[in-house]
Amino acid sequence: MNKQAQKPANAAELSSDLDPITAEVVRCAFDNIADEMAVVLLRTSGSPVLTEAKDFSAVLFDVAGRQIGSAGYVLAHLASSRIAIQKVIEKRLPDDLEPGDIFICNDPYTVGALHQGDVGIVMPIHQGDVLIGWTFTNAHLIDVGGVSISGIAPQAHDCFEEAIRFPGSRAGQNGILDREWIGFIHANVRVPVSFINDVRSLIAACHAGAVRMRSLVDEYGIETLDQYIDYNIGLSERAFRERIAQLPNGTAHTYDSVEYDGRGPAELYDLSCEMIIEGNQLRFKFEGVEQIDAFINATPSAVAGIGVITPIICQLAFDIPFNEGIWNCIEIDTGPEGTIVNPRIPAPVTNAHMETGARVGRMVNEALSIACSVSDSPDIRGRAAGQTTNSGAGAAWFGVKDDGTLAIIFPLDNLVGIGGGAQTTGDGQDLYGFHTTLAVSFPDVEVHELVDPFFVLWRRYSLNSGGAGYYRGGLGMDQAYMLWKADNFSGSGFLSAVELPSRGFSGGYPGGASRSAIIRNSDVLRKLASGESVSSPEKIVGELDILAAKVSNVPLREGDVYWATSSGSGGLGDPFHRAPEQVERDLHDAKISRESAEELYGAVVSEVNGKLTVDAQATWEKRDRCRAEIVKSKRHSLRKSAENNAPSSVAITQGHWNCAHCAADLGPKNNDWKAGIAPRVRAIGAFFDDIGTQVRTRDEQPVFLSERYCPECASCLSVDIEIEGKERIPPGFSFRAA
Amino acid sequence: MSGISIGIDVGGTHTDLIAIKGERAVRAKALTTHNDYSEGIFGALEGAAAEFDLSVDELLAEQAETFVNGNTIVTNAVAELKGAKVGVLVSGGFADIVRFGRGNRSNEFDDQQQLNLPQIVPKECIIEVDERMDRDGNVVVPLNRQQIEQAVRTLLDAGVDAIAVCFLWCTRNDRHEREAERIINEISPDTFVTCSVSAASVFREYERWMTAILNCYVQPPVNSFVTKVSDGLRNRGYGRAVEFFNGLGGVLGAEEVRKLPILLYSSGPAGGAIGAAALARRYDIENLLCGDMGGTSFDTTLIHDKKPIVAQRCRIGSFDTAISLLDIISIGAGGGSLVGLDARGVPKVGPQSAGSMPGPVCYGNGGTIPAMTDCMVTLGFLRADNYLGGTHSLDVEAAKAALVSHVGSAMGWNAEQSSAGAYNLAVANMANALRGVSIRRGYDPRKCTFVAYGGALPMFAAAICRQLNITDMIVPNHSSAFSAYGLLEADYIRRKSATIGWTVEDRGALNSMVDARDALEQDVVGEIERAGFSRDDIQLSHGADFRYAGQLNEMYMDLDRDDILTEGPGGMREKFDIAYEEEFGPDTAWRDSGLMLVNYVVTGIAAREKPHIDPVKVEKHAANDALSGTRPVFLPDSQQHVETPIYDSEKMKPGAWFEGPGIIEVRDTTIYVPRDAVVERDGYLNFRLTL
Repeated sequence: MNKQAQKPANAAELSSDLDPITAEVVRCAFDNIADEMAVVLLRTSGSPVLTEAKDFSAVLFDVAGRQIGSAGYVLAHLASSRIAIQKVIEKRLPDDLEPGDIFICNDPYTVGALHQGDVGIVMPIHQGDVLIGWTFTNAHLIDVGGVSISGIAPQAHDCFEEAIRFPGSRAGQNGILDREWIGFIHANVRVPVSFINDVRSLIAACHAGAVRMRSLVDEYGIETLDQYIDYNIGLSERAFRERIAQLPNGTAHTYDSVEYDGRGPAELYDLSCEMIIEGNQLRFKFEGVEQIDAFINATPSAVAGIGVITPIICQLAFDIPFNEGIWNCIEIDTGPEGTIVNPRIPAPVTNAHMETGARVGRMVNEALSIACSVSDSPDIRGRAAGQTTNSGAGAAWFGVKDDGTLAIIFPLDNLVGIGGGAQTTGDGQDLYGFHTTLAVSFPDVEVHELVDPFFVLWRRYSLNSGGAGYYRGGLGMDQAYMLWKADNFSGSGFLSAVELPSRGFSGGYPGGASRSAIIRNSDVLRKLASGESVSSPEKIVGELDILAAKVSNVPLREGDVYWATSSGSGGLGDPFHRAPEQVERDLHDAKISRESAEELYGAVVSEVNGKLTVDAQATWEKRDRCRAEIVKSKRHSLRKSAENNAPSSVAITQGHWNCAHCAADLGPKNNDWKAGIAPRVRAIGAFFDDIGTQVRTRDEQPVFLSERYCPECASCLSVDIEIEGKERIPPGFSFRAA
Repeated sequence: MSGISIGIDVGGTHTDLIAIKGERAVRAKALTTHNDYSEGIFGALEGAAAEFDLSVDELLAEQAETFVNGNTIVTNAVAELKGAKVGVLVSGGFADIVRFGRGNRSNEFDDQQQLNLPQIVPKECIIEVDERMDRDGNVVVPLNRQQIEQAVRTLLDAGVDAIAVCFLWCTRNDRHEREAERIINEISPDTFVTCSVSAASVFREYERWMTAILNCYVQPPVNSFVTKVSDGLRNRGYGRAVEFFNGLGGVLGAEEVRKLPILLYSSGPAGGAIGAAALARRYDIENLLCGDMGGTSFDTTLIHDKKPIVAQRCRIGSFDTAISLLDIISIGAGGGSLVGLDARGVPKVGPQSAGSMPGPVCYGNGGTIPAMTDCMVTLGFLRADNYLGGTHSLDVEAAKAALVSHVGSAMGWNAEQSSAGAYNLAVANMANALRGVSIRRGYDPRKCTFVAYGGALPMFAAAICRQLNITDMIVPNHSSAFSAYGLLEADYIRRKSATIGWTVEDRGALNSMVDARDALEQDVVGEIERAGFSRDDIQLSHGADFRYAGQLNEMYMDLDRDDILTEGPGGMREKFDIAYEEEFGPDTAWRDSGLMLVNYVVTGIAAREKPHIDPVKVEKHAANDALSGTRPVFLPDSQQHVETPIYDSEKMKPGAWFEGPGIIEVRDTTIYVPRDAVVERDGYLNFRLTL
């Protein structure tokens, strides 16, 4: 499959004899039904992956398989549920379907799962014998068999090793799970009781949705309801098309690379994105290198869900009720089979969502910022943002506790504790989670310690992880824990961005990357035995073993400290434009270090009575001096530039690119303005090391920051990330319709 | 009761008072005076005293027997983020939890709405100290006295008003928190201190810590309010103790309020719920839904078995806490809710509100965006010349013009059609909220009676009932002051819980479970006794939060005192499995998993004397005498102007009835009786509608 969701690009025609008030009442009722399904799931599930990380979804479909209501938690499941329903309909209708059938879907290749750990349940809704709709619920279950726990298998070479796959199989009838199937699960997963319990929760939620849907059909009649479904889909489609039409015709293009170091050398696998705007239609074209035999390959729903629909919803369609109408405006082309963006069996895909899928999401996030920033509408220009990191520090542990019981632990803390991108309205949100995970949270320290054999040493902000900018990117989290009343656990790790952090926009800088490490042979137990505190890394002596980004079978012994630092997101606008008072506040809030304030923000910092203060006047002078050294032709003050249109960087006036701050002409709009400015290039590793921001330095194919400044006011207009030996056109917008 | 009971509800805009003597109830209203609340309170007291032909001093010194106050001080302080400067001592390694909680992300689609939690404690006032307990309450890192002293001095130098002590696992062993509290008291006896274990002795540090921090945050304004009200009343001759109403629907004495002021959160809506529970007792109604529509929000809850339902671990403002409150759902649908079009060009109501300034367009205070009140005056439900008993006049033409320009012109509707659309949407939103407290919790709304109160809701209530197929509805006589009335129906309630973490299959640990239960009982009884009740007055009830091994969320279940001793068939475990399946459906219980009793809860209730209201004799008769005329009202269900009979409530005697459509005008309330509905004024002077 390489194309999805095509419908002629004509705006929806809205029937005029329907009542918009009733339509709205019906729409809210659908979303309420999905909400009620979600509540049932949340309250019955046993998995922290659901209850805290909200890695689940509940979606309602009409009889034709169109999305009509959803409970927004993991937005990507809007893609997976849609594929699952379509496939079940194709396979089962018209003859192979009975009321109360339970279909189980976790096969990314056939029924749209993001990865095999996401187990979906599809159930038909019948009124008597008449099919009136479909429910879909899904949740990330902690074990689905295969070589690894947590549903994520860094060591697998193909999808057969990864996990069992259910291509929409019938797992029960009349709402009751099949005993034979339960027996099969008991023989194939490590924690069958909790697996079956969670599947029961998913079924209970579908059941709750069906009850409400039937009463709605009773109230309105199926034909009237159908008309209002059409009407609402049309309304959302029309509103989104109007929004798209406010973007200029042309192509926003960008690139990224997926990191993989699980089999030795740290490899980079390239991919690219073109977002083509044609009137009121959006077309996405993704290309990627050949698929690899490790878990990074993207599944169709990872591309459509994590990659496309998530940034679309959060950035551009945030105020339009979501339903099938939004999909009608979007086309996705992932090119020929056999690549990381369109893999074929047996490519392994258990981390599709957090690797290639998340990179596609970052590219679309950036492409939308690029296109929004050249819109004629100030409201749309205001939707540009620093890139959200979409990457954290994942780990899973497996072992036997001192009391003899088996423990499988999937701490999501450092996957949730990742920053959000800077916005035109302010700094990015700290501990924001993946772009696609709404309302996400992590368990309290006391919950971990009660449930898991853990002792948590600290949980704090990851200093300097927010990308610098006029508005700063959000920060990630830094946490350490060790085993408690347990020994000899074995774990796996999956960090998706340790070398290529999220990028800033409009002259904003990248955020920090992630890192995980184990402090081995530490003195922690000895210190605790003598009552000494071990509440920060400085208080611990041991051997620091920095882990590869993708690892499996990592031993964790008593007294070893697992220490994870999560990434932050990209900044927005030139950090040399940021108000000195805000830089000072960030210092007081311990969100940036003194080195970072001085280097990245050009601040003049001094210590007065033990408190760091920023001298505003001296700071503006220093900023001007620093930039004048880089841009010899500089002739305006940065303070003045900062007052004009920050955090934008470039604008279109009279057919030309201009500096948004000083109006310097950057060339005709049909040219690439970046081509006309020689960038300042520095190695990101050495630079970030100096200022205390986390990033792993690449020895081969090192990574560079490529900064472009306005030739007249020396404001930083763009900061791109480039890799030696890869000749790629930097992210930008081409007005010539492709 | 021979004297006068006074309930006074200090709201954001109005201070409502109800005074009951025998069968006579009077109500009075004054504007809330935010710089000194006692002014508004005495203003309302003047009004009430006059009705009884007394002076305020006579009323207070000679007649008043009970004085219960509900207020929005805590609710406002948290909503407006205006509170004390708080210092926090926190376990080493975990200061930032106070800042970022369990992550910041909300359920909003819009990335620009994703903001960090409000920072109510400045970073420099959160100080880590060396100390650590493990999950069993063993000391891992001992407290360092010198370090605490130094931290306290740093906080005092920074000018904090109060200090919260927030340590991990204090619920297992509170020695460190208590020791830190002692040290603070030694250094600065006047500084207010809250230990997290005192604020809420339950696990999950973030909610417990936030409860302690918010308690410190709201203490100074509450403390000064309590002093002002108590002193003010005492100076005017009131000799008894003033009682304060809390968000759990009970009352607290002044000293308890000073210690745990956070318990006053959400006391306003709780007043109405307690009043509704009293109605349920009076009418012997099994399940009752109640609702109140204010300026900005609609609050609703369900009363089951004459008792309101309690929600645990409630969110207060943006913060998760360990506080239990009455389970009241609040949505942004009030008289001030703004009416407009959304991104698709579809009409919407709320959640934004016009507030009190500038307020709806028809108030003529500069508001330009139409609000729900503008719709109601446009439709003709509200009389422009006689709003709130003639105290205000409303500008109908301005309201109509705003409705046409903000909604009608895009939709091809006139002002009345636009208003009717907004009315129907508001009704749908409120009906959904009612579904949330009934269907979602397994109660069938069709089997409930809907009690609608407040000044505005009775215009909408019948339409809401029709959406949910509710056939029985009550508008209480003193509808607009019903929340104040509810204050007088409150009992003295203390609810204490402790995290136990007992695996119920582990019979070896039963003794320590029993000890913990007994300690909680003593704790609750002791506190109520200190408030002046005797042991015989106190009714204890028990309950616990359970979860199956492997789950992370608990479900609460009421218990009998000795249920923890039972096992096997009919025992506590089986009782829970059944309760769980009643909640979540057949075949959902985790019968193969162990069961853990996480928190044990003991609630003590000491009954206070209540207003005694006997029904008067009813003689059924047509309400023709009360008919004061007709006026054209654009009815949202029929979408046309209908010449609608208007009834004067003053002239509707008990037993008077009529069939809709009709409107009953009460001084400060408008009741809409739709076509095919029958209303009768009953022996309690309440309006009872059969739909």
